[in-house]
Amino acid sequence: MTKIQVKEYNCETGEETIRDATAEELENIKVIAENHEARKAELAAKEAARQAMLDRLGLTADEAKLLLG
Amino acid sequence: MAAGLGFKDFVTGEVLTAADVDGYLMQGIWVFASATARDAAVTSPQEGNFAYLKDTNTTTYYTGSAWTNLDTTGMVNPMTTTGDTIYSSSGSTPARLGIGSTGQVLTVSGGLPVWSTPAGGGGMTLINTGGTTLTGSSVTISSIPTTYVDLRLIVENYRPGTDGAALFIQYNSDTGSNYRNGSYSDTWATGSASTWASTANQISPDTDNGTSNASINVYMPNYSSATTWKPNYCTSIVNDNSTPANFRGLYFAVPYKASAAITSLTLSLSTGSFTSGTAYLYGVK
Repeated sequence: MTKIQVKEYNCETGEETIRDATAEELENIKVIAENHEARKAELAAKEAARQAMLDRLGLTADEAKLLLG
Repeated sequence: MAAGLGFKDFVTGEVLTAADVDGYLMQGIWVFASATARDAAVTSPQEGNFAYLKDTNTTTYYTGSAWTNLDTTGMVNPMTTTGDTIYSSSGSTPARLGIGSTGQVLTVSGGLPVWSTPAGGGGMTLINTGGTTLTGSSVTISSIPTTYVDLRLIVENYRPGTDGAALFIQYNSDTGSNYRNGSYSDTWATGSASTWASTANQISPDTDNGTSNASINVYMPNYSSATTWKPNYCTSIVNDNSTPANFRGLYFAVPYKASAAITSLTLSLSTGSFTSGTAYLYGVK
C-alpha cells in the first residue's frame, strides 16, 4: 500500500521536506474527508427537499424564484 | 590721480614723463593699511584703480563712482547640467546634485539630499520563494513572518488525484472545531449568531482530476493580530469534475477562530493526493 506523504515548506529557511504522514495527520485528513462527505450529503438532502416541494407545488425553480422575488 | 593709459612698450632711450608714470607705472595694485588710508592717499580715484587693504585682506577697485570689494565670499558654481541643484556639503562647501529621473522625489539619505524613487503605498511580497509545488496529501507552509498587514494565498492549477476532491485549509496545525465554511448568503455570514462548526475551511469546490484551470484565492486580513479572530475569505474557481469544460465556483467566508497570529497554513485534500498545482503565499503591506 502506498504511504500517504505530506510536504512542508519553511518560509524562514526555504527548506522543503517531504515525509510520511503521522498518525495525527492521517486522522486529520480522515476527519476532513468525513466532514466534507457529511456536508455534501446535507446539501444534497436540502436540494432534494427543495425539489420535492417544487414538485408538489407544480413549479419550476425559476418560477419559484420569480414568486419569491 | 591720473586715469590709466593702458599698456606701453617703452624703448631704449625713451624719456619717462610724469604722465607715463601716472598713466602706466602707477596703474598696478596699490597697497594700503586700510580703506581710510587709501581714501586719504587717493583723493581723486579713477575708474579701474585697484587697492589692496591689509587690515581686511581685500582687494578693492574703483567703479568710477565708488570703491567696491573685488574679493567675494561667493562660491564657485558647481552646476554643469540642466536640472542640477546645489547643496551644502561638508559645512559650506557647495556641491552639485544632478537631476533625478522622472517620478523621483527629493529626500534625505545620510544627511544629504538625494533624488529617490518613492516607495510604493503597498504591494505584495512572495513569501514562499518560487511557490510551493503541491504534492502528497497535504502541504504545509510554515514559519510565516508576521511582518505584513495581510496574507494572500493563490493556488494555481491545482489538480487532485481523485476526481471530485476538494481543497481545505487549516492554520497553525489547528485541527479543532475552530473554523466555519459557507457562502456570504448563509445566515451566519449575514450577521446571525453562529458557532464554530468545522475543523477546516473548504477553499475549493469538488474539482476535476483531469484538467485544471483552477485558481484558488484566500485572503487573510490582519493575520498577525494576537487578539482578534481571523475573518478570512476565499474566491475560487475550478474545472467541474463532471464536465471539465464547465466550472464550479466558491465564494466563501472562511473565518478562523484563533487570536494568535497565523504562522503556518496547511492545504489538504478531502481525499487522495495532489497531482499538480502550485501555492503562492504573498505578504501584503
